[in-house]
Amino acid sequence: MVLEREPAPLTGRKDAIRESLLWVRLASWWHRFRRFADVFRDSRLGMIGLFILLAFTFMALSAPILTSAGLLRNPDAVLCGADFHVCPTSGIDEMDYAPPNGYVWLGTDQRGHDLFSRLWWGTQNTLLIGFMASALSMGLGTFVGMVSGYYGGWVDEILMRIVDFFLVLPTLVLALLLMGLFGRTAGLVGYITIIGVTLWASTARLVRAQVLSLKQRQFIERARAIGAGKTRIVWHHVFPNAFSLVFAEAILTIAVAILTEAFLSFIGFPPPGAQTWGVMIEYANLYSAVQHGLVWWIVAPGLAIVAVVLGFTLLGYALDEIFNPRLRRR
Amino acid sequence: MTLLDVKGLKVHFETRDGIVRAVDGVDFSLGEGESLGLAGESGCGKTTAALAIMRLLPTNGKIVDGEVNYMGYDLAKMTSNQIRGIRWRHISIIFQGAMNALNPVKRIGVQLAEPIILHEKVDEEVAMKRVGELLELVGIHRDRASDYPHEFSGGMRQRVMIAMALACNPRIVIADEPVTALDVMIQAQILELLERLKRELGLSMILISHDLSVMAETCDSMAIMYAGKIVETGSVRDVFKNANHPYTKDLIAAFPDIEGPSVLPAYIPGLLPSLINPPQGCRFHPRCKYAWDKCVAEDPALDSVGDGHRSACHLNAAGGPPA
Repeated sequence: MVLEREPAPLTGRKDAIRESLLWVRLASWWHRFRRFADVFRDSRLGMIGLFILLAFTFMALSAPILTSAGLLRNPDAVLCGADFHVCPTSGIDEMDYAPPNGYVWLGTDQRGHDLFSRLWWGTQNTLLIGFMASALSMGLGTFVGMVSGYYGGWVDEILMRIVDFFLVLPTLVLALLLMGLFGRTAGLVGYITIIGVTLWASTARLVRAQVLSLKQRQFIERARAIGAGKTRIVWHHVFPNAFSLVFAEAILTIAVAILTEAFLSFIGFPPPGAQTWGVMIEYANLYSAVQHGLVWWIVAPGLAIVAVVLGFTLLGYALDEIFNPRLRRR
Repeated sequence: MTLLDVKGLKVHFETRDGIVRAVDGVDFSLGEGESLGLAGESGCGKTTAALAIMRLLPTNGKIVDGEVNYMGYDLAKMTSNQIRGIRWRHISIIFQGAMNALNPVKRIGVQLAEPIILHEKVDEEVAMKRVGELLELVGIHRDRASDYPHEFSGGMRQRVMIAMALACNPRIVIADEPVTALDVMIQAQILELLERLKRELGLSMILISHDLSVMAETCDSMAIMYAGKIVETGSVRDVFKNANHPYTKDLIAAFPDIEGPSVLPAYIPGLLPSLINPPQGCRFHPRCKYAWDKCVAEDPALDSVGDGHRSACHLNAAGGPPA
């Protein structure tokens, strides 16, 4: 059926001014960012969290640069001799289990690797796994929550029963179960997927609840009235309203993902081919660090994990406080 | 020329307590460039009738009978894809409490551009230019397109909603209580704006309100609804000056007279009947001061009582209440 009409001009006025949309948009973003920054700066804990995370981000990004500049040892280099020079793997005087000293600040491990540079390099993979697992879990949780909440009916029913299944199993037990089933064969991506999959269910619940309340709002009805389809309404109108919630949740989930990775590594499921703090602790345990007097082998990565989790938690709560209208103090 | 012709429209809602007959056989028509007022107390089916025209009823509401003829097509029988092409492009709506109908996290300009981009194959730049024109049409500076809804006052948001209703050059605009949540000064501004736009753009308008004074100022003809039915319809002059139906008379009497002595205005005793079990016969009879046994037995038809003036009351045929 065709119901076409001539789109008549609304006004006869000719407008020669071409607004540069991009510029208006950039200016508006900058303005909003400044306002957000003003509010965020008042949150002392949020600022502490941000600085902790900036420090770790610096560690993660600077590791390859510092190493190639010669300021940081290669974490896989075997150290020999009293001056801890790099030597071939089959070196005779490997400095294994060396206590902390002026050359190696945290000592060396069972193979004569520098623990300090291992810690510095471990930041990368630890943060990467945390970010990726959180992103995956947010993606999955948001998608399921949105579909479940907006479409409702039997779709909701089925999805929520699946969510229930994931919620009743304790996170770590579920992670162990999945690791036992797939962990040995999965690559790093598979490993991250397993962590992500154990963490998405509560996000799905959260997003669903938000969507259920959002879809009663009048602007959704208006979107329907202007002729928008369901998909457009969900992604253009419902999702942007739930985004701040998802964002704060994502930050908090990074912390949980890092803890999960550390736990799994310690239990004997380290991420394949990746050096993380969790792996360091596992090796420390495996090679009896304490008996060799190398307490820092455990304590340093442990503290790093605590600090990064603290950083993400502080930042997450600060953002939650800003975005979540019920906690907002503005 | 008749643009929109609604015939025997019936809308039922399925609820846990039973079927609610929210709109029960309503006829009205809207001519080109004309404005029609739908009046009546809360819950009488005004909004439901309007939403039914655009097929925007909630999921438990259904058009069970009747036709909505627009340009030779029956909107009531269109598929959902077809009706999406009608919405906004041909018939748009200014929502009740329109200030809440804006998405709080999207810029006004983007929201105004949305119907344009959805319905006309234009790129963003053309759409944004149109947005600027629309905003100036309703008296808002075009630079404010990049602001968010919370940065506008209530009256401005209402004007943004009006601009949005005009985004795709619709032929018919349904204004559902466009001024209800606003103070009197802003009400006057908004009504004047609607009036001007109607005149300049040649719009046809359906104005829904419970405020008869708003109707008197802006409409050509009006229909008074009671409990899902139209009880009286005609030109604004006829309905006001020669009100025929007892309900209409009571409604008009319920308005305070600012020139007369300061007494409380009359009110209509009783409540709107349940629409699950509407009263037998004339639906107004439990509250009507003239009701007699015929009113309980028989539902009066909407009969002509003058040129284009129709009323549904047994008094007309009987020539007055029996002694």
